[in-house]
Amino acid sequence: MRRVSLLLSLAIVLAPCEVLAQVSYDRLVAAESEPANWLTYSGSYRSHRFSSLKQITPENVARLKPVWVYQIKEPGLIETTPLVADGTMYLTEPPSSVTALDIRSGRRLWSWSRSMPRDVRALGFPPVNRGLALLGETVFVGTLDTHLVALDAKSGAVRWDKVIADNAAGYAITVAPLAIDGKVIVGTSGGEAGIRGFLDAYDPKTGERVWRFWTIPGPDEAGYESWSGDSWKTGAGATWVTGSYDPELDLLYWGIGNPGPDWNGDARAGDNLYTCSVVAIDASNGKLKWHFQFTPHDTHDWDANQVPVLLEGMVAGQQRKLLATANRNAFYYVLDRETGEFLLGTQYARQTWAKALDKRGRPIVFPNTEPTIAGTLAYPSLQGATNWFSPSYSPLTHLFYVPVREMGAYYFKGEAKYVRGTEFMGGGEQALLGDDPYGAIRALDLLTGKLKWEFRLHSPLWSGVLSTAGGLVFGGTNEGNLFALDAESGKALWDFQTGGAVRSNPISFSVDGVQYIASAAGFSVFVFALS
Amino acid sequence: MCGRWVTRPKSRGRGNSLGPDLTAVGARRGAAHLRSALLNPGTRKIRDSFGFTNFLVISVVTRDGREVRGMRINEDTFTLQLRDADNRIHSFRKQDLTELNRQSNRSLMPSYKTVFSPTEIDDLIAYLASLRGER
Repeated sequence: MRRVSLLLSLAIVLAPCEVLAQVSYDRLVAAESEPANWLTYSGSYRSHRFSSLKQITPENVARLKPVWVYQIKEPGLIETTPLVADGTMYLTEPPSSVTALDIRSGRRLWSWSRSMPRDVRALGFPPVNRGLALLGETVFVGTLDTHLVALDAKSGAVRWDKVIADNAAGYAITVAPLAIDGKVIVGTSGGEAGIRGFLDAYDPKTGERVWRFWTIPGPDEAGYESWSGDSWKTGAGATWVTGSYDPELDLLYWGIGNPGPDWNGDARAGDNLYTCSVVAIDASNGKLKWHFQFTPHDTHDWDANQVPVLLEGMVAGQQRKLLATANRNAFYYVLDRETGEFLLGTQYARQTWAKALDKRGRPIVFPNTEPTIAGTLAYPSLQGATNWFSPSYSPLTHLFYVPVREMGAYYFKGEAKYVRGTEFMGGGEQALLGDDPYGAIRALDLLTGKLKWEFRLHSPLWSGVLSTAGGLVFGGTNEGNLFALDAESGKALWDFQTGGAVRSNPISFSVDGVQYIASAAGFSVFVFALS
Repeated sequence: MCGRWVTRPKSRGRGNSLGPDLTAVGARRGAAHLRSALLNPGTRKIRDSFGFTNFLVISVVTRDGREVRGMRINEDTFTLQLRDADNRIHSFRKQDLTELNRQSNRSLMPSYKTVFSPTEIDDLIAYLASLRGER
């Protein structure tokens, strides 16, 4: 018997680390120190979407070839960022399925799907899912019909399943949750359905809700006065893109979406807090620490649902904790992330709606830029100068890489009558299509926002970027190209035609000392390595 | 009608693919549009479902000095595919081109203003307007 115990103990000690590994909170805090994995949506809590792997370089990237391709089960838009942990890749498939793949072969280990009700609502957006969160031995995913589900990371078995809002009212989950110490943070979609937005924290073990932060303040709450009448009840403010986290300050940073109705602001006079803002939330209790509103009283659907990038930098001779973001409204901002103080704002893409930002960062808006019945031309388009797809920051080049959409649109104002569970938008948009709109990857100086270089793309893109210590920036195009640029100069060094539009964020990881690049495109996930 | 087409777009499965399928052009376009297209080709823009200009004429010069002018079949950030007036397909890497000119108001099809008489033009328009697709 003793011999059997000894053999068992020996077997456990010698077993591959994959079997015993857990994605602890400590590992998530230090995610940047284990670049072999990609443990959380943006690669780290700071959301640099930067990999310190440097096997693939400008000199050898031309030898990048596909290693394996995984095809999803049902056709649909893939906006997922895969996660990689200890030999397994986890990804979401549309509308709300989860698949675990063997990282070496691309073969499926398990999959989980939730059958959607026939009348499931996705109002104002396609039925997509942007990813998941890992904590301990559990995978967390949100579903289109507003369930937050915890799955066993080894088997896909359901550990718990909670309904967090009412899909019949227009709520849905497309965001990748964010796992922190003892909490799973999740937001909601539904900004075109007149929801009242929120950000929630759940106990990862039980699924019980720990706190809820309403993005639209109610009576007796600060910011309530920024809404006229009862408009706050249908004020939207969705939270559909994953935010960032500072463990030292214990603050979450999350972008808030447009006010409702989108294009008709008549019935919601005021700034409409906290729409089109970034909010800093105390992770312990869900209380608002500060906010910064990029587009007060928005009438162009310029959600602030971009990933806030956290970093440190010297401003006016003082080392400060910063938050940088390129907003959908075409301005790039740097804020002090302890206080929310506005430090810098500068235009990074074409815009025709604001004369400038004042010294506190509030836009000085040109007259006659609001939507009208006849249509008002404005830049950027409804889809923004950028959108949900991720930027990247390289601590080596000190450049902020932003995927840019250069396109204008006619904005139309219409009637807005709230009917529960239907679109509540009050108008529409006609984008300026044709050969003139284009996309670009722009490299901005972190602290000044000045353009260092631009790489122009054939059309306005829907893909995020990844920068690496190897000196590269990876991205994708609507026309199916995955590409690599020199991080210093923007020169194109490699491209690969995937055969389907890229609407995802690339990642990097390594296995057995080999660096890989992965991105979804078309109906597939592609994994590349040097040949 | 005299047969002086420089190239002949496809109709009822015959002709080539240098231009739109004319099998049902009469169901899609009115006489005024057809007249404008025949007399002043390139002035009316036809867009695909993504808003890009269909039948866009592009001329390129390669690094080795070769000039090619053709109708855009497809394009992305890195590559370009053209069909020339002889219906030959050309594929380019953009990095191998020294010039790329989009001729948004031009067409590979010449104007028929001086090719056909006014009566022939009227006959041609009447014929095209009668094309309503297979029944």
